[in-house]
Amino acid sequence: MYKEFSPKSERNATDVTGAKVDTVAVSVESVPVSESQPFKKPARKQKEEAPLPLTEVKSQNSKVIAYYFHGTFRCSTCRTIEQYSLEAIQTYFAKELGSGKLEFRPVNIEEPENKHFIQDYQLVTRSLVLSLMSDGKETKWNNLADVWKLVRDKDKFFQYVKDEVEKFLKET
Amino acid sequence: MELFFLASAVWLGILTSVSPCPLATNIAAVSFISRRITQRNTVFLSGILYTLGRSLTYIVLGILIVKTLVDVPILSDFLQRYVNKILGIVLILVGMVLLDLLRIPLPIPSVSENVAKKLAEKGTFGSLPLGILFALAFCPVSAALFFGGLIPLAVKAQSGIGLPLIYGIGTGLPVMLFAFLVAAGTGYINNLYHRITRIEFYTKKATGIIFILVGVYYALAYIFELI
Repeated sequence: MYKEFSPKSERNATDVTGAKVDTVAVSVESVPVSESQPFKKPARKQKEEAPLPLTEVKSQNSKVIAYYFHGTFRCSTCRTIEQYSLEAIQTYFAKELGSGKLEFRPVNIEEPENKHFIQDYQLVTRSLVLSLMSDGKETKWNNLADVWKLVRDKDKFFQYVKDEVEKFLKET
Repeated sequence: MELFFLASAVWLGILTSVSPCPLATNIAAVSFISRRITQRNTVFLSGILYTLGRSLTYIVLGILIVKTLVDVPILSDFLQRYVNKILGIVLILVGMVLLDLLRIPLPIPSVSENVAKKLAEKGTFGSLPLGILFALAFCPVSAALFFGGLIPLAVKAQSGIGLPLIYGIGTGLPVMLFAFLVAAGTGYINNLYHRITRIEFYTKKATGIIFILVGVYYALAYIFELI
């Protein structure tokens, strides 16, 4: 059962497999990547915000959207990142996906109507971004920039996505 | 701490050099640089100029970002969106010139021969603009490494020149290494055959074909969006 895991034991289990990390991933990891500013409220055009039926109904409704931003040109590493992100979310959060608490949304930032995301989330490349929505408004977001460092290590990648999504889901 | 920044910049550069897009352009660069295979110094100098050209681009971007308030996501989006489209066309055109399929039209015929000769002599220096242009062609992986990896470092260290320079050298390292090997091998070849200039006829053609192939790849991927 994926839904009833204990986060602690799951984490330990994954860390054991993640211990045999390849050197590339480790050395890249030591490089600090731009800290996304989770509390900086992006200047977002409200009208382009896709309204979510769930969040509009009741005030206590809040949910997490996991955006995967890509361009028209899909490079192979980018495809892997998208696939891992989706797989990780489907593996660990099937219940939340089913209930609508969590949503995975691939977005092409080269479409004119999606251009605002580039500045909203400070996107410099293909990115996985978590967004916490409550009452139809975004209260918090985080650009998971480490997906690029961890893409060579599937276990670590899954653990990273799982941990970050959990943090956001806690606040819903 | 300084050393850590420098080492990170080189490492990010090397990772960039083997990521898909820069790898394609680096292959084109290697063939461009080593087409004068019999001239050891030319090859070596070309390799260095190409790498400097790359560094130059990164330095300009570094200064723009660190010293001024250029919006990084907008810049990154712009470069990824447009430069790759132009690059495909440029590569195909340069390839055609190398294959003599296309002549650079020069207005006054009497001057043209002189100019053409000068251009040929300065072919070495063509490596510099080549490096500048190739470095501008960002794609997802290289953008993640430069804008997401190097730039935050450069901002932290307030180094708009130093770190981008080192990073640029890292991105050109495989090409320089190859140029060095070719240059080292050239002396050996020249000792064996005194009249080997004919080989340059073929290396030039090969370079032209490689440029057109890489150009077609870029055009298919970024203009026609087929790949």
